[in-house]
Order: sequence, then structure tokens, then C-alpha cells
Amino acid sequence: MLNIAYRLTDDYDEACEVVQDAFVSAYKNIKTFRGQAKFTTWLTAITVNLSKNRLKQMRSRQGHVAFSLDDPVQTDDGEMTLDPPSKEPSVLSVLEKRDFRNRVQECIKALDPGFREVLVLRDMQDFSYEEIGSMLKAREGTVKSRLFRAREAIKNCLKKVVGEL
Amino acid sequence: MDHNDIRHKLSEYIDGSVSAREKAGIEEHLKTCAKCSDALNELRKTVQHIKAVEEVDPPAWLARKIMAKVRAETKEKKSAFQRLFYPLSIKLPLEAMAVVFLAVTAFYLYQNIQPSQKFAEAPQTRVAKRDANRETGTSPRLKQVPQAPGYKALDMKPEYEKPAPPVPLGKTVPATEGMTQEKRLAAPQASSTDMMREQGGPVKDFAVKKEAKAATPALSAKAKLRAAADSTSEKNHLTLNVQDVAVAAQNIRKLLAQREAKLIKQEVAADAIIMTISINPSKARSLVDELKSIGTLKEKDMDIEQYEETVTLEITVMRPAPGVQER
Repeated sequence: MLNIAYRLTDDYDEACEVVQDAFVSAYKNIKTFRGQAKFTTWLTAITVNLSKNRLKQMRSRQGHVAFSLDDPVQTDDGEMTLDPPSKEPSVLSVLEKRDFRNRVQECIKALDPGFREVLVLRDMQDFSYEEIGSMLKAREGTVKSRLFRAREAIKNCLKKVVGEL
Repeated sequence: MDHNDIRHKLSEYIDGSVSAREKAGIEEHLKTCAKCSDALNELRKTVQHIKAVEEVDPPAWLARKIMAKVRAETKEKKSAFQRLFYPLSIKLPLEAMAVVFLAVTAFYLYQNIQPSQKFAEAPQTRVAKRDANRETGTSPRLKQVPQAPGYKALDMKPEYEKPAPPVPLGKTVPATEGMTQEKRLAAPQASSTDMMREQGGPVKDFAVKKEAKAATPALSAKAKLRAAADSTSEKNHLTLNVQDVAVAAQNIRKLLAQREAKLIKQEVAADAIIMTISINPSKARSLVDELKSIGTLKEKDMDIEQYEETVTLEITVMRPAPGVQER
């Protein structure tokens, strides 16, 4: 559960909070669990949902900061529009210093949440398509195509970062 | 299946979730298509890399914190429950009981303090008030009305509505006159006694006559007692200022014995004795005269003669209060 939350939120402390909330929530709503699915599936679904909500909160919190990188900067010669260099090389250079696993993690982080959750649940947690479908309330076909795209994205990301797989 | 379809299916193929027919088709295509077999290899490696990503370990405190949170949740439910129902079931009755207890305590304290205060203050203040009234004539009623037998009732407000003292038939007229004077005071616009009688008189008249009948010479012992009790409601107050209250009281008792007077009630305070006696009116005057020899007597204008059977006197024997002495 912690790993799912961690992979979905990218924040260890937040993930811990999510796990706590998930257990409390499960404790409160144990009556609603009717044994239709496996208990782990039910618990994981709660964790995924809470992680998603947490992620939204985190993003909206960041969004509240009224600051833009594109804002003009005051210099000696007057106002100047900021033209930052592309992030790519710097990310690359940072990643080069880390080991391969960290690079894979960075690539997973870069995924969209919708793709990321499928990838995490399938490749890291080994849930079946059916279970993932019931957790995310999505059809199996959707899960399959999302998983394919997520894997492709990771593959491309790794290729870009490392060069060869 | 064409090349693109197969490429999309590769992900499923890795997971082994394709049907047997699809699997055969894909494997057939992979033999001929190098691109697809490369893609499959890359995909397999990618998945391996993803699976190789190490898992994070939960912090040691997480399990404890979760348990604490769950417990807090159940406790919170309980405390919310208590917050809702504790005051209603236990707190409120407790508060009500406390309020009742305080009220009862306050009442008893008041009850205990009040009589002693009254008793301690009574003789002096009463005498002072009465004297003040007589000397300054502050009472408007006293000013207006020439002193008549019935006016005393006006002076004693609480006794105002009580029936007139029993009077013999022969003396009914002055008593009734006194009453009509009372009524005139109560309703100054009324001009004649007859009118008064029409308005509310008959009932009162009847009461007076009834009592007068009861006081006839053929009075039974019971009726006598009642008459005595009734007459206490219209006591004649005497204040005797003496230096030694006890000796004076002794002397008064002797005088009473000589005159066959009955001591109805005796209240003893620190420096005063209040004696309520009933005496034959014919002997009352001589008693009053004798009292003057014992100490300084202050008497209200009394009309002892109006009583035939008995007259009730309230004699307050006391050391002269400084304030009274000065005057």
C-alpha cells in the first residue's frame, strides 16, 4: 500500500499519510465491503483513490502560489523577459549521476497519473487486468491500452535518458 | 492482424493475457518482423526494469501511528457520543439538583436569619416609628381623620381587612360609624353612609352583627376564647420604659394576678419583654395607672371602655432606647 501511494504521489511523507487515511477509512467503511472482491483489491482501491485525491490537493496547493517563471524579471537595464534554458539537458545531467533504478523511477514519475496507476498496479504490484479494472472502475480494454502506452512511454523515456536498454 | 495491431498487442503478449489464436499470430509475425521483435525485447526489458525498482519500506512508526489513529477514531466517536448525551442524562439533572440545593439552602438561611432580626429590632423600631408618627403626624390618614374608635385599624395595615373586635350589641353603632369612616377614606368620593352601605356595606355589617351576637352575655367559654383571640388582632399597645426589665416584669405579673388578668403570650428578648394580656376593661384603667408608677409609660390613645368583656393589651417592657430617651 505504501509503495502504491508512494509511486502515485511521489512523496514519501504524503504516501505515509495516505496509507494511514486508507486504513482509517477502511476501518470506518468495513461494513460497505461485501466480499465481492478480494480484500486486498478493496484496500488497494481505497489507497489509489486517496492517492489521487492527495495528488490533486498537492497540485492545487502548488497552483495557489501566484508565481510564474515567465514573469518578467527586473534587471539593471530594465524589465527583461526570462528565457530559461530547456530543462532537458539539466534533467539528463542530473539523471546521469544517478543509478539506473533512479532513472526508471524518474521516468515513472514523469507519467500521467492515469497511466502511472495502471503501470504501478500491473508491473509493480502484479494485479490482474480484471482487478485493476475493478479498482479503477475501468473496462479491461481501457486498462490494457493504458498499460501499453505507459510501458511505451517508460521505454522511450529510458531510451532517451540512458541511450540503450 | 497487421504490424500495428501486433505492436499494440505486445504488451498483452508479455503478460500472457492474449488468446491462443492471437498468440500464434503474434509469434508468426515476430519471426518475420525484426522491428516488432526488437520492440518486444525492449518492452520486456522495460518491464523488467520497472519490476526491479526497489520498494520503499514503511517507516517503523507507521503501523503504530495507524493503530493510534484508528483507536483515536473510535474514541472520538465515543467522546462525541458522550458530548451529545452526557449533559442530557447526567449533567442536566446534576445541575438541576445543584440549583434546587442552593435555593433550599438560601431559603433556610433566610428563614433562620429573618425571625431573630425581627425580634431584635422589633421593640425599638416599632416604638420609634409609633412615636414619630404621633409626634410629627406624618401619617396622612391621621391628619385627615379625627381620632375615632375604628381608626387604629388604619394604622396597622396588615390588619386592615380583619373583622372588627367583638363588641356588645349596645356599642355596635360607634363601631359601625368607625367602619364607615374607614370606608370613606377608602373611597373619598362617596358622600353618604347609606351609599357606602349599598355598595359593600351589607356584607360587612352582617359580619359585625354576627360577631356582636357572639359577644352577648350568654357567651359560651369557647366563644369567649375566640373573642379573646379575635381581640388580639386589635391590641392596645403600651410601652413601659424601665431600668430593670426583669423586676418590672415581676411587678407587672403581680399586678396582673391582682386584677385577674390573663397572660396570653410573653416574648422575651435581650432587653425587653413583650407581654400580651387580656383583662377586664373595668380593671384595665387601674392597671395602666399602676404601670405608670413602675416606669415611664407611653400609651397610645386607647379607648378601653369600648370593650365590655375583655380587652387585650400588649405591654412592651424595655430599657429606654437611647434614641427614644433623647426625645
